Amino acid sequence: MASSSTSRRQRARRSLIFAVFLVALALLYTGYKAVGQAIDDTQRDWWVVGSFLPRSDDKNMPPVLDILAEFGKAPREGGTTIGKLTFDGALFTLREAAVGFGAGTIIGLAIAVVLLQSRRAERGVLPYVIASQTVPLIAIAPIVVVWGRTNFGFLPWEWEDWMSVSLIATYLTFFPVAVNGLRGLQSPSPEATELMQSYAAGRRQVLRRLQLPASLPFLFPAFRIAATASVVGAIVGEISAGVRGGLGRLILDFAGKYITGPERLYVAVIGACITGLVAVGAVALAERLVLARRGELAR
Amino acid sequence: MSTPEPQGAPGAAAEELVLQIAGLEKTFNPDRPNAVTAISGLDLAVRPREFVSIIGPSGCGKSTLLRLVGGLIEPTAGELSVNGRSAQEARLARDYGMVFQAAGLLDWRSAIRNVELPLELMGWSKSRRRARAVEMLKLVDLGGFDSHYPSELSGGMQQRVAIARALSFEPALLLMDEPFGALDEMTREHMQAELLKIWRETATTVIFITHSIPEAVFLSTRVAVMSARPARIAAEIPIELPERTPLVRDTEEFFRSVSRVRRTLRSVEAT
Ligand SMILES: Nc1ncnc2c1ncn2[C@@H]1O[C@H](COP(=O)(O)OP(=O)(O)OP(=O)(O)O)[C@@H](O)[C@H]1O
Ligand SMILES: [Mg+2]
Repeated sequence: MASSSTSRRQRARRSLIFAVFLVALALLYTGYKAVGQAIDDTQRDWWVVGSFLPRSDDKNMPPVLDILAEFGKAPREGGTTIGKLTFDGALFTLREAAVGFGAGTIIGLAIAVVLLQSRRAERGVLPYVIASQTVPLIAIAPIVVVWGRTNFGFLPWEWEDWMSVSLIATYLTFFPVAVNGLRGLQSPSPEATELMQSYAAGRRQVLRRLQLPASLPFLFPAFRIAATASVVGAIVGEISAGVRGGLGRLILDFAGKYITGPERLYVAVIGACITGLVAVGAVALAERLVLARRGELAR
Repeated sequence: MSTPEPQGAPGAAAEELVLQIAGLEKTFNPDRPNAVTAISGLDLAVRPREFVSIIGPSGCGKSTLLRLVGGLIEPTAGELSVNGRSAQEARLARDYGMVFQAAGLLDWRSAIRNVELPLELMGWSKSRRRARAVEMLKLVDLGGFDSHYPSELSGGMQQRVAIARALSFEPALLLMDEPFGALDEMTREHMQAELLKIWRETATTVIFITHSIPEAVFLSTRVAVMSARPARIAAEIPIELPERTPLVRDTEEFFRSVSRVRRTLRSVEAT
């Protein structure tokens, strides 16, 4: 009872801090803008420091209220609002990221479990897993999309471009999950392993009752990294491969119309930030639920 | 209360022995500069229903011996059979329950779920293992701590959960590595009484490692004294007490046995 009410109070306090943070951010932005403009209005060139700082006119830094108002505006008369467009794009991107995250988690765990079986396999394969992450995402995204269109005809379902973007998120997710997962699976003490042996537990039982539960504290940080990477990967993937429907495309479109309406791009970027926060928040929530079940929040 | 002293028939055939060890040797990291011969030329035989305590200087190889008996590590040389089969076979047949020197509870499982672990692995139904675990926790005086996690229990309480866990599936052979080392005197005496009760009521054979001479004397039918590294059994002292109730600790027989074990241990440590 007492603990639930304190945690509720804590949560309320954290929401308040976040709100204060957002307001402070908006004030800072507006304040900088005001100062920058004041400098501009006098003699910017003469002001040496000022000439290095980002320009703060309405083109480069639209006023906060204009950005907020942009959410409700429609590009075409009576059409969909920018806010709704961004929201739909965010959902589309989030789906790509989530599917990729799920697939990457499964693949990452599978790799970790395989590498767990032998030190030789670990030494032989792990360097390649690490090397896989040096492939530049922007370069391979278009290849993956083209490749997906032409090569996945054998699948029982129709391959769509967004799935190729998911594949990119998968690629970014499997790595931290595999590496941290392996460390976690190897984390039980020799004593705990001997205990399981003393019960004549089979390999599967040891995995399920000892190694997997022991790996969770290692996996959640990986999930958090992977959640952000999935969203970023999905947006970058959409942009570089030209996949429509998501935030990436929206950002590209709005960037093209920057001259006439810079606020729009800001809206899309805010949408991308929120999408990333939602992804990380979902992982944090899952972590809380799991840890509470394991009694690790009682400490 | 009469206390039957279970004793296997002397000269029992090898197949009837719970434990038979001859010329046992264990070297860690052989062929390497840091090789350690922990055990060498160790002989020991344990008959069914015996309570054998093993006592010896710290670091002499007591835990190593127990892990060898449990089939958790392989001997370098010598013979070792448990219930007439190899240690590995006995382990796979779940012939024994082991209490390790460190409690070794799983952090993410509550006390009751830790006790249930072996039962889960053995495929007991949920209701059956829950009922047994509740009973076992009561036995070790942790009735109200079912849902506590190891981090919320004291070291001694953790050790008691580990004991409940080892007893939960009623193994015929109990291997215990300083199980009461972390307990205060009162709890220790209570646990000793409980262990004796279990031993008496069930057909259990116990191999019990301890640093405490009075504890060894109070519990055992026989005390085996180990020599310093490389360890062997230097002496075996049969213990005969009129009864095993707390009162026996104040008797002449008890003091005589204690001082006999102490003298043996001293002579072993001196060499
Ligand atoms: N896995 C291992 N690798 C190398 N050496 C080991 C290993 N386990 C034990 N030893 C060595 O074997 C010797 C005996 O260790 P063991 O743990 O059996 O002693 P012990 O009698 O149980 O000591 P204590 O009374 O302190 O518990 C020690 O010298 C120790 O260093
Ligand atoms: Mg030891």
